[in-house]
Amino acid sequence: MLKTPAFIFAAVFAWIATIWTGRPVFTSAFLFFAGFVLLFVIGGVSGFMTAAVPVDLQLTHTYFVVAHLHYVLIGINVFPVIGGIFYWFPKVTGRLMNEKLGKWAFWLMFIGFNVGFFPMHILGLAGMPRRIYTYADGLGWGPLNLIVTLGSYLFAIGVLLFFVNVFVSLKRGKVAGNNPWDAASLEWSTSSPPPVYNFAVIPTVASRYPLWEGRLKEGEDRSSTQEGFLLDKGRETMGTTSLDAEPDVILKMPGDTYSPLLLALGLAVFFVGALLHWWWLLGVCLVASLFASIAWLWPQRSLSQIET
Amino acid sequence: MVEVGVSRSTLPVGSKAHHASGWWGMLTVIATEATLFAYLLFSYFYIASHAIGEWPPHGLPKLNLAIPGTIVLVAGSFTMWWGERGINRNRPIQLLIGLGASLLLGIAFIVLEAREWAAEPFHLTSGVYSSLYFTITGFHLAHVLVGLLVLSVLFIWTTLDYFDANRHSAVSIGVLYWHFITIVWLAVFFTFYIAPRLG
Repeated sequence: MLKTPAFIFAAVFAWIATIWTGRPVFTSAFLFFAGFVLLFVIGGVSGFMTAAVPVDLQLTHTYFVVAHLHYVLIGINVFPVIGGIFYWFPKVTGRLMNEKLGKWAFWLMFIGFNVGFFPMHILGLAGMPRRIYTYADGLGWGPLNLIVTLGSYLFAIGVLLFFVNVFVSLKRGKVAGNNPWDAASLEWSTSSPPPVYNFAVIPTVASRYPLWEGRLKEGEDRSSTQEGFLLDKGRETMGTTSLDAEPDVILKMPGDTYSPLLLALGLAVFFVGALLHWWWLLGVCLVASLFASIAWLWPQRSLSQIET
Repeated sequence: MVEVGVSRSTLPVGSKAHHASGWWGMLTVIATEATLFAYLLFSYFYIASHAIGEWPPHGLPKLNLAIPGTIVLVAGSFTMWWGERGINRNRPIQLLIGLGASLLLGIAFIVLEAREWAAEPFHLTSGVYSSLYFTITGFHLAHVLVGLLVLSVLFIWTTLDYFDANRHSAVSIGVLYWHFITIVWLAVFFTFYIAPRLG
């Protein structure tokens, strides 16, 4: 319903291959991400079923759809987001989250979620419609709905435990240091929390695992966050080639200007005029937007757009 | 790492030729607009392949205005190419003449197209062919209008002496869009005027 088969297969196999070829460390963050892959597969497969017209004739407007969309929304949005919070919490706050509480929260949430939402597939197949608050006795939906209720309480306790973990760890979490996960990407080379400017120079990245280069020995090149281009003549940044990210051009950044704001206002009022059928307003805003665009693009010497 | 920083110490600064951000921006605009026209032309061929009875329903489209229109637009691309070549060799006057000629040829195209629209026996709502015809040629016409606006602004900037052989990426970006409009027209022309004559 929500995605194409190719995307599911490509994404799931990419994740499995990442775990397979790596050396997984079973932290809370990993559990939440691995759990998400499983829930994604379940939610994706039930998506195929609702996308097949003959099956959907049976399934539409039943609890099967409720099960599917919660596997999609909670399984592939809430679980990885919580995994991401576990992963980057130390970078943001300087303190690690509690692992023991984290694992409890994961198993409560994971088991609670599946106990709560998986039976909804069966309820849907048994004909229970969605968007009802009660149903007649003796339809045979009672026992499964009791399991659903128990599961959802379990899930809620897990979520609560996660929030407790966040507040406790903010105050008493273990001090993280720069790179508590021994991770390879650039953000782990700064202090936790990072300085407001992140990096003093634009880092030069020589490989896909900049912090593991010494150990992987894949090539001679080394990344650096300490040395880089000065770019100190006004507001400048580096433009690089699209495939190899080699330095290609020094780009001048525009200064403060009203023209983008005027363009945005012109376009916003243009569409308001279109909604109200006020054609004169459309004309005025179109002309105003054109002039704002031309003013925005006007060649400027300070941006090296004209002459040397 | 340091080797990268030192050995390439003479990087161009700012909007220089094809290093300019606007150049890449225009390429992405062309990619999205080309996709739009690909969809539109696909819908023409799709509906043509499913048509019952005669296609095109009003007989073969006349070429008496379409061929001059095509010649005018292709000529406008050539004059623009010639003008850009001029600024590459530091001749702003040649660029100005090229821009002026392309502007006039673009306006001529719009006049020819308007006369063809007026002469058509059908209206926008007459049927599926007419709505395809007016939608696709209309979208192309809108792009020609934007192109003319771009060329006019470039004309003003050239008279203000903003461009020389070293710095004229605004010109290259505008010219790229102008060539794109010509190429789209060739696809539209083939679809509406040539393809029905081949079957």
